Amino acid sequence: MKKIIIYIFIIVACGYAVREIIYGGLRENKFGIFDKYNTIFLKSNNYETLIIGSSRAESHFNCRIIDSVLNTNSYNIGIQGSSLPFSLDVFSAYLENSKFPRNIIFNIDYHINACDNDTVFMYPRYFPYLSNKTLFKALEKRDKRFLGFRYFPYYSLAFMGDNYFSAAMRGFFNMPGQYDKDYYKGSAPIRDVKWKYKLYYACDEAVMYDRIDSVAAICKRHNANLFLVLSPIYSKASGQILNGSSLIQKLKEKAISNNVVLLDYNSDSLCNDSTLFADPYHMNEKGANLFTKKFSEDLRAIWKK
Amino acid sequence: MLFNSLPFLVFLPIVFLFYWLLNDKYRWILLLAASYYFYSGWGLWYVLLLASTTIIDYFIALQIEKAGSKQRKKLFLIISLSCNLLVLLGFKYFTFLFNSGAFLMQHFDNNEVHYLAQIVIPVGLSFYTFQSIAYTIDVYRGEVIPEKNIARFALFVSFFPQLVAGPVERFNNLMPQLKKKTNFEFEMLLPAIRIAVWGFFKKMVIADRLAEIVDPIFKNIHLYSGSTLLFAGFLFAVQVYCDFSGYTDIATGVAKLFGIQLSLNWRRPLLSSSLIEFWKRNHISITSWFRNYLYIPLGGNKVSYGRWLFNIFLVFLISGLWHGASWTFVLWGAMHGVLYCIELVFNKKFPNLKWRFGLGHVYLLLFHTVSIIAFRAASSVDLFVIYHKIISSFNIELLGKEVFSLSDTFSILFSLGMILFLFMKELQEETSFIRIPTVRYSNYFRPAFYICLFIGIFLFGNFNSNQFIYFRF
Repeated sequence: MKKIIIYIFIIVACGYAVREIIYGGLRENKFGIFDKYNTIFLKSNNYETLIIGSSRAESHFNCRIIDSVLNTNSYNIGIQGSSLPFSLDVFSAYLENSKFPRNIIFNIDYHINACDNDTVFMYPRYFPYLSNKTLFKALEKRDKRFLGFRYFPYYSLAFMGDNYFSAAMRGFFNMPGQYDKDYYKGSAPIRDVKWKYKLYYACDEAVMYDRIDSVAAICKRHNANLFLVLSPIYSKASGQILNGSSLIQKLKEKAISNNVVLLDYNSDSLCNDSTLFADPYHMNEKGANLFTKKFSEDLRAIWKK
Repeated sequence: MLFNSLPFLVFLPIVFLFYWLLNDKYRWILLLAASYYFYSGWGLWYVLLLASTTIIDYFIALQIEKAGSKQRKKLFLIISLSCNLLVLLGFKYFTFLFNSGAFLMQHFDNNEVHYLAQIVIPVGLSFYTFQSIAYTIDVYRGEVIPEKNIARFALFVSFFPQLVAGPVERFNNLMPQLKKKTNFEFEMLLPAIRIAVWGFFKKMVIADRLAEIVDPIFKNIHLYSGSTLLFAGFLFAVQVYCDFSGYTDIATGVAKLFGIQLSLNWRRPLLSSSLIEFWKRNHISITSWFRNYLYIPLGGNKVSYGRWLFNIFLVFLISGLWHGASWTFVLWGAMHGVLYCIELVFNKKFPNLKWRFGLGHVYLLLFHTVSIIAFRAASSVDLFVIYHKIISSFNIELLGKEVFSLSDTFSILFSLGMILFLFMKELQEETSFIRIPTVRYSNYFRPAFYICLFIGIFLFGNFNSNQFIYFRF
């Protein structure tokens, strides 16, 4: 009996120790996705311009170009697979340790067809950051298992796999992974190539517009500038969104009512060139650089006014 | 319910706790209920099938015992065998036989024929059917006194740790243990947990990770060179071994928690130096089943030399078919049958000849690798494409490039490292080549080793894995 109690104690202790070693390694990462998450959820930042959104925000807005054209200090907190509400929750989690930015560039995915897809993509990535209370609350709201992930080490380890182990080791040894060097201040080009088209109606629920209202209100309270952006979608794909033009119209009205700028690039010539896209909704590196340049110049013109 | 699933993780401690809390008289009832609940996880219809096999064999065994003449006994035995084999035939072999017939018809008539889609085979059908058949044959032979209590007999057929993938237990081994009064002792826990942890490690860390390399290669055989296909065959051999022996280890560990010792099913078969030795170590419970209930009734070795060899070949052919209703499995059985007979002839002609410098091990591993590809190939056509590629486009330079293109380097190297780890562990068990002081081993090294394995399961195990390979059989 005594032996068994000792073994149970050792196993539990080892579970916590191993988990802390892995989390420690991930938090040590100076490159790639974990460096980005460390910045968003753990570090204390003072970026002047912040880019918010999903993977489209992450891949379409190159901070290197934005910084040089606009002479600002920007960071991209676009999160892969994130819904509009989750993007905003990530922004709130960012604010737990960081100062409110002066400019917020909010890339809106109006093309999403399912209103209820507010789930967490690649959720084990967030495990090392559950000490960020805002993030934990946002994750637990979407997935009750996060309570278990936070407090039971073997439960969270079971969902992580060896990719996280090797990323942690890379963190300790300061070695970048295969795609880690793609990241620059949170922005990274997309590499997946999946071309699929289908006719559909995009999500058109009041709650989506209400979120824009609340962000606009928060920005106003902090005296920050909010810029809503509809970054390019390949023209053939945007043509498949049956209610696309009415959605854009509603977003424009929403921008006017909140007295914020909306920059719509969905009828831009960039949208017609398939060589600038990795898939119908994500521009490739070349396309993203062209778009960022164009967007930065447009923004510069607005700032001058 | 899978062993490597969350529901089982809840189910097992509950059953374990109540089992030892209950009065000795009622424990077997709890085990019976738990076994049926465990099996119902795959579908209620399957439970009905299991129950009907149990009922038929229970009553027939009683009739066999009561029957006055040998002829009547034989008649009841034939009824039992027919019922059991009909169920197997209906679920497992009907589609195979129908489609094979249709294929032949198409070639003779040139008419378009329709093939049937494979019927879903109830999980563990072959295992519990074989266990039940063995019981009725043993009763017929007078080796077993039939069980009078139908519920106790139902527990023998359905005992959950070994129900779906064996070991196929003999009545004389399992039933006395199910009836025996046992007291709980903490000392029995640790060996049970150790063996189960090693089983989980083999399944989730070795087998399931190897599957991630093997599956894409066998799904796209046209994209890979012969050398890669052969290497995938080797990985698959290790995968199957770890998958199945892992299941047996978990089953043995779980059964030990209830004070029951299951039969030995695997004795490091990949370390064999000949096919004859391999079959003494590989899937022992089913091999002994075929020996006792097929090979010996065919005449065993008490027939002419030629007939003896033919009987052996036939047993392998049927064993192949038992593993799967497909011509690829028949071919696998035939390959093993032929080589087994060749080894027997060779051993008779040159009784003193022995393999040297580990050549026997290399020969066995190579043959096992080549033959097990038949186990994995999606169809006979695919199998011949693979064999043709191994012969015609064997390019060792492409091997590394093709294998490392499947996943990230760490993952591939880790999986290959795990094969080396498995080999070292089995070699240690076989030869004790590392001498460790007994006291220090049992006090420190062994607990540390199993704690590392436990953590390793969570760190490197595949928790999104598929079912155990042998469930299909």
